[in-house]
Amino acid sequence: MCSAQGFQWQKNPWKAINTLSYMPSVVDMHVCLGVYVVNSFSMCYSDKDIRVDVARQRELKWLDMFNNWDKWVSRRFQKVKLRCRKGIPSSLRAKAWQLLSNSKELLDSNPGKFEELEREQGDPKWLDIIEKDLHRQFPFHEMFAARGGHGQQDLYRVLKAYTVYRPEEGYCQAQAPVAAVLLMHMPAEHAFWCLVQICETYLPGYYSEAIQLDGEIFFSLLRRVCPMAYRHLKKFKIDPILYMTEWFMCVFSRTLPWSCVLRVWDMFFCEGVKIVFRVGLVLLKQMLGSVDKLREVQGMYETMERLRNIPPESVREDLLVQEGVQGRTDPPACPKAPRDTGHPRAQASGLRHQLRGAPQGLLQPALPPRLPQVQNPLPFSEDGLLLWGLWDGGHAATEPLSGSFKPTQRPRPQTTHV
Amino acid sequence: MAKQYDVLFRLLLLGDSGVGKTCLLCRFTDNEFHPSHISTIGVDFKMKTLEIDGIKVRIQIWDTAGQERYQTITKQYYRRAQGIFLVYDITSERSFQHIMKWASDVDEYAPDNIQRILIGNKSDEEEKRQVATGQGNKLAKDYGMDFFETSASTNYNITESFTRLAEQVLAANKKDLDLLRASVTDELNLAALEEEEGITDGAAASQKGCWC
Repeated sequence: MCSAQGFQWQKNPWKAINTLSYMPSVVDMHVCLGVYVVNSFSMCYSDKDIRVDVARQRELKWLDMFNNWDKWVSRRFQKVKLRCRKGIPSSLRAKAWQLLSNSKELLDSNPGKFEELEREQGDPKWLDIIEKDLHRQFPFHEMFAARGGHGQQDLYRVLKAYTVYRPEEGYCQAQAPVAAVLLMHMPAEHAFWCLVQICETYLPGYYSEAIQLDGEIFFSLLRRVCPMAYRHLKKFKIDPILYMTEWFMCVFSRTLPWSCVLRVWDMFFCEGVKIVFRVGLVLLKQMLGSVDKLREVQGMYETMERLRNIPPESVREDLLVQEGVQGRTDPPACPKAPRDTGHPRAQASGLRHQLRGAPQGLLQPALPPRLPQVQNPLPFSEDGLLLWGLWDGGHAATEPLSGSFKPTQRPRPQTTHV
Repeated sequence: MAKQYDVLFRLLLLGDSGVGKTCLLCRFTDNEFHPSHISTIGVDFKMKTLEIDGIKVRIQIWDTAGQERYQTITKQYYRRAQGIFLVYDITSERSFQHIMKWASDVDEYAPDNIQRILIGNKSDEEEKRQVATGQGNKLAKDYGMDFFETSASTNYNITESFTRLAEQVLAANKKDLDLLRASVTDELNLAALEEEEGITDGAAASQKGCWC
């Protein structure tokens, strides 16, 4: 296994590892062995490695779920969610992501479509920008390092195909890192349909203009979840779009240590954009949530530097577990959501609805304080890995099945756009 | 305690995606150049302190994503700037043609007394050149801007161009500066002054803008 020592020139080793995308190649190497090599995660300073027998057991559980996927999703979705929170075995991650996102079904029901899109000429306006971006995604990852190498070629194919598939949307630069992460796990055609699902079902509108409003929603949630961080950001006039644009649009793929990126994506594919909100809130809470931490970042510049180069200790898994046990970081569900599917998009749209209706309360939505309490953290923390899921604060045990985001049960995306 | 700076102001880097805005900035603030780097998503900024005519000038340089799609975000920062770099890539005719569009956006969204400077980056890539130096000079003259060809890769004209724009901003705010010289204790925070003024503008702008 190569070491990260060669990358010490980077100010922030995590940024280095993340940028270099050192982890996936290590994980991928083990994929063919069929072994769940959680030990690879040790780069994340996680001292809670999974034993091989536990890993193997998890793998078998996932294989069993794959065999009866529809049944699992319709009848035991809570269990699926829990298992996603524990982390999908790396050897099975690609397939799980495709099933969770329903992109597998799109792939199967559109045979030959990707080749057809590829054959189209494409709009030079988009192709020009895509070409300039090919060498600027994970430039130290072995797959994307070589100019014109197979990784960059596949990236071009996927991104170009999307601009042909949705010519009215075209290409957004933040799609490139997302597509690159997908390509680290699956072939181009599979990655394409997965990207389609992310753009249209998970983050609709993010790659056009919706991000700004979600920034305001995120900030209003922060006020309730961590007033100290909120006040600090407000004091130094740091708009949410300054730090959350990259976090949200790239689903943290450029922000967190690699092992955490994968864990976040596992949960994101299962539960949707609310995971992105939660991770963002926890990060802010961990970086700006105490007097000591704020003392280190007295100024707009210092704060921005910190948020753009997140120190590794802020994302240590054990700290996140601790954070989760306190169970105070969950964004509250909106009681007036027009379509309360439990999906944060619906929650967010409910909140958005309120925000639009009451411009004066933009940062102070009139929501009752309904922060969930952790009721039963033990099942998550048994192996010290559960971390993110705990933010749900016991929802996992209490939420009705119908209240969960299930992209696998959603109708296929419409061709029309809002 | 000695003052860290006398004047603080903001500069903004604008130009098409891939012309080298982030590389210019890294070269200027950290004297680093990374051939392998990632595209800018959203807005970023860095700081550097210069000394011009005995005045300690702290500049905050905002780096923006070049893609048109991010302009609803980046345009909000135009009005907060005192100086703007319009950057094109000498190996890309298209990026040069787009300078006119960038300039008209600046006219529309930036404060009236904003200082501008034209930069033709990647001057080290002579063999791929598509925009002659004369074209850059002419365009700059038409717009009444100074012009530099630069190379972040070889560190050519980087400090010169940043210093020039800083000097222009200082000169444009000479009145405030003279006041500063009269009182030795205060520091001049152009960025903050502008920000305070900008609050009401911002409210008006956000009503105008469409977020849907």
